[in-house]
Amino acid sequence: MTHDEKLEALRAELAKQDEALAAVKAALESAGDVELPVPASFLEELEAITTVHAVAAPTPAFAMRV
Amino acid sequence: MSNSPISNYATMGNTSTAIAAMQAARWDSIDVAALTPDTLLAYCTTRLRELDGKINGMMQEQGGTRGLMAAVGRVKEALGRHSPLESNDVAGRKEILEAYVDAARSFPPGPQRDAILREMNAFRKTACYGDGDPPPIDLATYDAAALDREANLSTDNANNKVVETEIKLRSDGMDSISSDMNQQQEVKMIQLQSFISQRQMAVQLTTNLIQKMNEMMMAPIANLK
Repeated sequence: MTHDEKLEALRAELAKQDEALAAVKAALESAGDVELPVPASFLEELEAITTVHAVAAPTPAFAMRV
Repeated sequence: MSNSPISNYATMGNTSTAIAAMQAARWDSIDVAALTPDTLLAYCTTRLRELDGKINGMMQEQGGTRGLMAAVGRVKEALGRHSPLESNDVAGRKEILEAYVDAARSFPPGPQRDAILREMNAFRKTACYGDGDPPPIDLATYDAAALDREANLSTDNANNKVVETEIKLRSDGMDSISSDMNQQQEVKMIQLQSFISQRQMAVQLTTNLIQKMNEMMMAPIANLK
């Protein structure tokens, strides 16, 4: 798979996710003026999943000679 | 009125009634926060914002890298067209110098730009200064006139001829820069895939919640039938 094909596949994946998000948004917008019972675990899990972790740059590994 | 199950849920009454319905559906053991749809939507959007920012930035970067690779490739092409480069080939020298300057200017200040400038200086040393050390190059002031001046330096000096083996050396230098960029691009692609996968999990989690809510809301209606 070329680099461009990989990028294209990722763009398609993002578009699919955006569609799913749009459906979620539409469902929530049509819910009207109510209060929805949201499990606290959902909020915690979403927070954990969406936290951006900095990925350290690869560092050279040194082997010890014995 | 909308036919959405969540709307049906809304018609069931106030919050306490709604929560009671959910509890009846065996969510009673779960710690529950009562949120309006707007708040829930805002929460989800906010949580995704940082991830989206990272993904968009990296997508743009990946696209931009293609331009940088092309600039490096143009130096190689120019070198390949003038192998060997005769000392009186002013046009050839100018074309190669221009390609080096364009490539260096395409990169932000950093190790890759420095590597291109090192390669360019090695070329200038042989092609323009007869193996003498060239003056340091300042991209901000290296304009068309400066480039023209260097291209026309000592055209009768045999030392300014760049033989095929040296052209090959300079070309290999650009290959090495390309190879470094490819490796970095691969690492960044893996990071990008990881962020998109994180986003997918978040979207899936939210979709599941909405589906679960829909099922809970539909259950009492189904029982009435």
